[in-house]
Amino acid sequence: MSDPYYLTDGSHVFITAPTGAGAKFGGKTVLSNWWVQRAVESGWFDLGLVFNPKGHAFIDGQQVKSLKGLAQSYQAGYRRFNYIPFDDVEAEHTQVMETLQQLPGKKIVAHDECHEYGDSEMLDWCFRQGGNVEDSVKFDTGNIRSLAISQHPWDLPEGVTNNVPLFVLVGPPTQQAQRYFDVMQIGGAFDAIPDDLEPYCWSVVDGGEYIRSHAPVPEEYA
Amino acid sequence: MSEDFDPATAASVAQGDDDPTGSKPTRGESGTTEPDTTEATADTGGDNALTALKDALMQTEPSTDLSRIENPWQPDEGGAARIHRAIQKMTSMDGTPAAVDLLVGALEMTIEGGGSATIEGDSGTEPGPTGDLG
Repeated sequence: MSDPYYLTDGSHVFITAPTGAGAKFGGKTVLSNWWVQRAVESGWFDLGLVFNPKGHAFIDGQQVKSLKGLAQSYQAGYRRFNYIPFDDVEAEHTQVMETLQQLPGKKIVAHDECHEYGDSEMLDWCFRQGGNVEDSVKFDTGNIRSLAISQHPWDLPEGVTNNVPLFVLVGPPTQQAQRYFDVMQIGGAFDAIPDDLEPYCWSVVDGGEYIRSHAPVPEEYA
Repeated sequence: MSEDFDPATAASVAQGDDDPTGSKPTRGESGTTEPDTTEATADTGGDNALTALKDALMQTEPSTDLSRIENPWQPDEGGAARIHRAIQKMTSMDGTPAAVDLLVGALEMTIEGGGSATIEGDSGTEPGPTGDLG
């Protein structure tokens, strides 16, 4: 069975999950880990990077902590990266993206905890323009597909939330999630999500319409 | 970050330009690195020759710039291409090893040679359509 179109095309994605204590909530970063790895291993993208401010060790890919490490690992042949910033998160995010803008091929980047650097101009660029530079004379590279991961959709600027055609809710639909759907005027999509979803199941909404719900990604990605 | 590359330098080094710090490319900064299979072994002529032969037989294709490879996996192609792709994924090989090309090519030459001999021995009747004509 071939991958659904939303895994393989270049549309930006926003992944969120309701907050709560216990093991039945969460799963956003695990999903993005799976998404990026699958995208590169399937050949749909040439490079995958997870910008990982929390330093999660389970993220697949070559762990790098600086642009030097990123450059040397790329030169050595790696194409999937777990980038962990140690200083100024926003500044490092900007520099990482400026580097990726100059590398060849199509890239997919997961911006984990993106509310931490939500006001950065680079994050705004990633979602407003990063997906439309394939034939640009300024950026001699392919598109950069972005996955925004955040537990706080309300803290993100409109430049991000208005440029993510694909919305993914991880876990069962909750009242907290419903409020966001209502604010974004996609309450109809929320109503279509099954109420009895198991934890870590993920539901895809495209352009305000509910598409389908998936089983949790394999545990090896957690 | 003061000793780190700037984005332009990082991009240049990543694509093969000289590292301004003079350090050799490493396998990254993680402790969980993969074994370097291209590393030279013992410093004897015989071992180097074996290593070179092994590397030559495992060579899949000449090094090509990533930007020149439009879609190396060609996911839309099915049939034999899909089977070939599955084998590549299972073996983590980005291409067909030279040794496999050698064996398959020799087999193809043998079959072609045998097929030519068979055609020369035919009775001369041409194959016609099967099934009812009416």
